[in-house]
Amino acid sequence: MLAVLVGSGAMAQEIPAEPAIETAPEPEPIPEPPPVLHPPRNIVAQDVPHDNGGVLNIQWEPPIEGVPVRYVLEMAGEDGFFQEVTRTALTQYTVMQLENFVPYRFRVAAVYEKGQSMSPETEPVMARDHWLKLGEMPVLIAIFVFGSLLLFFIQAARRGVELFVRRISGLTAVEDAIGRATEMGKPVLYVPGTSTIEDVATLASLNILGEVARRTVHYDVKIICPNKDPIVYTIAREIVKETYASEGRPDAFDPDSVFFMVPDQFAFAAGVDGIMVREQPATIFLMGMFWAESLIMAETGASTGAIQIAGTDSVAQLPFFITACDYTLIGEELYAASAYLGREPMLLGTLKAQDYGKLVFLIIMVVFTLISVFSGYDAASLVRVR
Amino acid sequence: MKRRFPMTIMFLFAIWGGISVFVGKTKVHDFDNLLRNKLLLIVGAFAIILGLGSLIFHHTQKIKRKARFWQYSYVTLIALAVTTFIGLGGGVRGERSLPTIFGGTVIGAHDGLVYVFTSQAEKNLFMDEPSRYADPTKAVLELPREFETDFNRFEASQLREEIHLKHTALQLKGQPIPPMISPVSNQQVAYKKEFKISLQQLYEGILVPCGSTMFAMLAFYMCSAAYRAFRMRNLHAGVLLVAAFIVMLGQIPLATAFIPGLHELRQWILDVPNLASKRGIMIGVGLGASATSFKIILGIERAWLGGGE
Amino acid sequence: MSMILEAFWIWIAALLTLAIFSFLWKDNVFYRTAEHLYIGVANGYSITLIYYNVVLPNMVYPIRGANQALSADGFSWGLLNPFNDHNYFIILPMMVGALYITRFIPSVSWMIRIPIGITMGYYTAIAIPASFKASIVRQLEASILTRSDFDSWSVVFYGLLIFLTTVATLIYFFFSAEHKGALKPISEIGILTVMVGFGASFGLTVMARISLAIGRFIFLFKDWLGVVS
Repeated sequence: MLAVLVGSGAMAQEIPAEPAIETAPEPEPIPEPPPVLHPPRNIVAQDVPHDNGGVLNIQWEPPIEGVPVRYVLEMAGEDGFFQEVTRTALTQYTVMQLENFVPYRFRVAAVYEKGQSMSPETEPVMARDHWLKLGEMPVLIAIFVFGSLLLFFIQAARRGVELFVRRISGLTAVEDAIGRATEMGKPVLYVPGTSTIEDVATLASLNILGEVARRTVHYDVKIICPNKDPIVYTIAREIVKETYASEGRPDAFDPDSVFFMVPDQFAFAAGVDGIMVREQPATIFLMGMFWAESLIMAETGASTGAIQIAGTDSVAQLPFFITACDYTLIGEELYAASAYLGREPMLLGTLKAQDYGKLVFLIIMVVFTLISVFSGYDAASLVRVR
Repeated sequence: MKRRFPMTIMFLFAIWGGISVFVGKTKVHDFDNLLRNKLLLIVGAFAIILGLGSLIFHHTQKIKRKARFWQYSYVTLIALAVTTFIGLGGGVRGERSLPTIFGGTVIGAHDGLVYVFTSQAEKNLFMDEPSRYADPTKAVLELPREFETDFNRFEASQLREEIHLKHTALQLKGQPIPPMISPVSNQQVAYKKEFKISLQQLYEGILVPCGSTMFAMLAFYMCSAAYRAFRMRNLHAGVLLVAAFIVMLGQIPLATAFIPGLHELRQWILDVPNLASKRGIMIGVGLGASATSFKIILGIERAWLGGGE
Repeated sequence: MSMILEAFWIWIAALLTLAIFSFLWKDNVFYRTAEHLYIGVANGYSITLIYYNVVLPNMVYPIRGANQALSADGFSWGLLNPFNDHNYFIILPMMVGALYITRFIPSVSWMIRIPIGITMGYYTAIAIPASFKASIVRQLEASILTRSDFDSWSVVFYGLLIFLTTVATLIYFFFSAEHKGALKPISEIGILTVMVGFGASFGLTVMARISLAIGRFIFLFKDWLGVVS
């Protein structure tokens, strides 16, 4: 289909050229007159609307006649001297990293094999920054819609409305898995991912850590939590410590149970592997953001015979967790986990909001597709981020 | 006070972060950049002190308690002391810029894609202005295949050159340049006088072989994981394995030459179910991640404050 | 001398490679040594990196420069401007960062929540538009079919199938309803799609990982033993 489109486009360009070739057969013997070189036409320089500023879009049309080898775009700032910006075969260029509110002028030369032809200068234009980035509007609206859903369901939960959430097998297994550690008298290993606090998956994992820690206090099981990032370590330690305190067992908290290991990805995997084979944890949680080290840890864990519950939103690592772990929380199930485990109504409310959010976007997908197909209007452009 | 004050501060910074995304004013943008690339970096740098404290405590405790395998803790502590001494005292030898292992540099490649993961510190090295939308820790660049085998020796300057070439190519094609990977001038770290054992040698002699061997072990682990899935004998694992096998086999020219339709089938798997599953997961993940963020900002999820009121 | 040194490092690298590979057999004294060495060196290395990449350029140099400017030209407001290369403003984030250390002082240890709160607040907030843009709005835009998608039968087949399986995948992840009745077959199609997708990722990665392992063996046999050229 694409090929057809491109083909017809090329045709449309070639048609006007044909009569020119037929009507002007070149007289052979007469010495060549100096060719008339035409400049590019209609140069337009524009500020890119609704952005951070500093960017101007320059467009021009090909010369009336002749095919230039390339174009040379020149720009003059406040000093008035023209300098080359770029050489391009295209008829459009975006100049970046300009000063805002400084007038710039542009001109374009069409370069032929036998010389070049310069266009007239444009009027001075200025790049501006804008308060609201309108190009982000679809994102803002989507956040607003989802935020409203979220607040609505949190309010509903506060009013005491019963919210049904189906069973998620990876999460119902958590209780049993910690119970198993109790019976075996072995520790629980919790790896809160290998990313930083900038990843929301890490935050989700830390929330789950709170729930897991609560159960380990309850069952009196030792928890081991190695960390790759110092900030994540700091928060993880606070969470476990506070959980012990709020469950009335501050004395039982072992300050060495949550520790920082190493910020290197594979050194961390090597260390966690070591813990797995030496401490022989009964249950292993691998929750959060992972990269290539995911399988190194998951396979070692599987070989020790521990029950493994993994969860990540990294699509690239999910297949490895699924093959090597007993239970895997796929994508959003990771984010649902703390609400599910905590069973706190307000948190369950956010789960409902997630579902209805999905429903809204599903309806948009279907309706916009129907509109596009039956009216021919490009409905996808309504949600396009510029 | 102990909870409300940190909550309030968190909320204020959240408001700033949220608003600054949608405001295009240069002043806002500049301050946001300063906050993200400098001020928060300074705040975060102090956490390494806690990390280091924890590391040393962990190993001295082991030695003190004569815990199992306590002798090895000496190896870690001595290695840490020696490397830090060489690193801070001796600096880095040679012309190249500091190889970056903190958070990893170029970590993997397949199908002509090289995956570059960078830490906060490295973002400044690789990207002058990381886009906040595209996750800058997961920048994916298309690079030629010859980089596949030896990424651990990959140099930052080489990478930057490639990024630059790639950008020029995109520019020529008239395609927009991904904002997250723009070339920057070759930033070199200040070097000090040369020591007999330099940090560079420790890097190449210890960190590179250890890291790439750990990475290479994945080849073995992938086989055992596939076997494990095979033994599970359930439909889902079976489907996964069959798809994996077809996609893998379809990469081998010899196989595609002998099995008719293999190439098309592989392409279909990549184009249809692969795309659909990723899309479905991503939409859910986007909502889940946003919900988690909202919960934290609104103070509904406050595990970090120790839960409770 | 440099030849000997080079050979020394190749031996170290080769022995460490073997030591780590030996873990595939079982945990042993060589792996344990290599692992602990690796962790120690990697930590020392990142301390150096932070020192050169964060501490020196963002803390030491600006303050040192500001001190020089202060002694040379006296006080000016520019010395408090964080946008200047040399300024005193950065003492503020340093003080906030130093609150991490309050953890060692039990009476004020709650103050550690201030730097944590700042970091978490900022990054969670910018994560919201980021995930909406990349994961939702962009995916939504790409999922919506247009009239041109119905130009040829093969495209209709592909496009519609992607559309329907995406819908099925979304339905699989619904938390509000059990996978019963009409939802059961749809969510089953959803999870099967997901599994095929995961299989594709798995299959794509295998080759790259094998080439990595080959790379390590080439190092052992070529650079170290020199038995292959």
